[in-house]
Amino acid sequence: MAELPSSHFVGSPRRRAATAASIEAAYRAHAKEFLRVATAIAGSREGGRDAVQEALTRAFARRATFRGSGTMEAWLWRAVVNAARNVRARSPLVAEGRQADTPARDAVAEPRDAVRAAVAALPERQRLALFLRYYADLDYAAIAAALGVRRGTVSATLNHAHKTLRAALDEEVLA
Amino acid sequence: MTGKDPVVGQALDLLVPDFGVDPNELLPAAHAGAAKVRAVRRRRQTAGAIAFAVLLLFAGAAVAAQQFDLLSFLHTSDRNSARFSVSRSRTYHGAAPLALTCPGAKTGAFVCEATGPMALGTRSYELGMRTDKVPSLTRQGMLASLSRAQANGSDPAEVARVRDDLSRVGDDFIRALAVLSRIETVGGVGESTGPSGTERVPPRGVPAWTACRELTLTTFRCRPLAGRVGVASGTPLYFLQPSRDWRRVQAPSQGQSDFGRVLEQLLGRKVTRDETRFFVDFATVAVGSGGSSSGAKKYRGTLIAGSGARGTALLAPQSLGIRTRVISAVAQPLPHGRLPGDLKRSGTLRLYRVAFDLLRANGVDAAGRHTIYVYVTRARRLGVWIVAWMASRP
Repeated sequence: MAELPSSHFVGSPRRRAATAASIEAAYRAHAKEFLRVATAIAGSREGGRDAVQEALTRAFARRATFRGSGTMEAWLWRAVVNAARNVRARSPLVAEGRQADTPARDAVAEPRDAVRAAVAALPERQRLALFLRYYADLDYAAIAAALGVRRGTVSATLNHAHKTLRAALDEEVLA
Repeated sequence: MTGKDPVVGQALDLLVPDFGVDPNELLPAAHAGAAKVRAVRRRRQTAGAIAFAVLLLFAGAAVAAQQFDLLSFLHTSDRNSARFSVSRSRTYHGAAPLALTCPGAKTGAFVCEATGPMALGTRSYELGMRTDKVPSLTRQGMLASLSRAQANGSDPAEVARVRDDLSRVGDDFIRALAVLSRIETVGGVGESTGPSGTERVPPRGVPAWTACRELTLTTFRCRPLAGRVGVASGTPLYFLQPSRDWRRVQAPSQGQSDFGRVLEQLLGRKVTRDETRFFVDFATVAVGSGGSSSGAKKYRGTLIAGSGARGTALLAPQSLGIRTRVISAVAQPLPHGRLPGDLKRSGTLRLYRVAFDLLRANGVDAAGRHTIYVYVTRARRLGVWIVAWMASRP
């Protein structure tokens, strides 16, 4: 594997202090993934945006506390996931099980609702693992680092999630 | 490693479609926010030196509290609950993740990780609630509340009666009430009381409840909540998730009313009839007015309102229309899943387990000790707490 440039020390096992530039570089490299996962967790595009901004603010403000014992990518992922979960908990619309951004009644609205219901019925750990796997394309080790669990747990969690979702989703919905 | 399931991938793409992102969009605001956070932190460091001097005053207050045996009152034998006092002056504005893992949870301070809900095999704590702001109880404040209540449509005759009651109680009583208003009790961690009157408790030395504040982006410093004095309002309180090493012990019996006992300790005498009447009147009649517009559910036709969440819960049994004596109101975490009565989760919804004595059988319930679960919420427009729902189970 080609060595990453020094500004992208994401994934580096070495202990290094975080700088604003390194945080910014890590964010730029994965901005779309951060926003997509945060949107999925928070339940709305606006909530996802707020969550990522909140996580970045805190990361910049507290960069000296990055201990370098893990990767910066995992550090940022934790911050984003936690911020998104906080946003979701604060949002009454989402807490009531409704979607804050009501989608237009188009051809995909019905299947989307069915998917939303099936995903919402999953345990939180399975949901988060799915979001990180599919929206961010993280591998099992990275998901494990972001969620603070073992790699084997991620594998089992994703297997359960796949089985449950496949069973819950009607084939017509996905056609 | 298992690959991705294309069907699941297709479904998730429906949920959050791929969208374009401008990485520069959020960065300026994040940098500006961080600069603000750092500036606040610098101001706090300066304030720290001033706070040290103020601490001396608090030390004086602590000595006074010991004279009333208040500090020992905060320490209970119930290992599943925690009694503590809330600071009137300090507020915590930091983050409160939904769960924490605390491998080193013990009697002193310990550090927790905010990645908690996913981790297994370590001490896991779940967010129960944040501490409420302590209401300021002064004679002047109460008179102002009465005026507001009258302006909001309370019966002028009733307001006049409560004003008269207020003139009959001494300042020492109001001071004692103010001290009591800072004390909170939370419980319900090892709720599974069996038929033999037992319950499960955490291992010795592991706190059932803990108060935490952020240390870094993902780490939090926590301390056992039980017996803690001066917890900042807004502090997130976490309760321990049961694990295999919990032990079953005899559940502590609920004795006489703690509230009344401490009030008498603080006063150094028995509470007079005027004082009891004033306390009940003020909380039930004067402060709550016109609450039907708030959307709260009435229970057996009586609206109950108060200036504080716990105080309102304490008053709930009175709405049953029978003679009751309230023993305790202990805050509980909101249950998972759907809440009763179509209640909506919100930052101001609280659940209390209220124990009370029914002084006389009412044809349905026998006389003696009963427990009900009371949901209270804050009616924003009125600025009071009201009972939203009562039931025999949460």
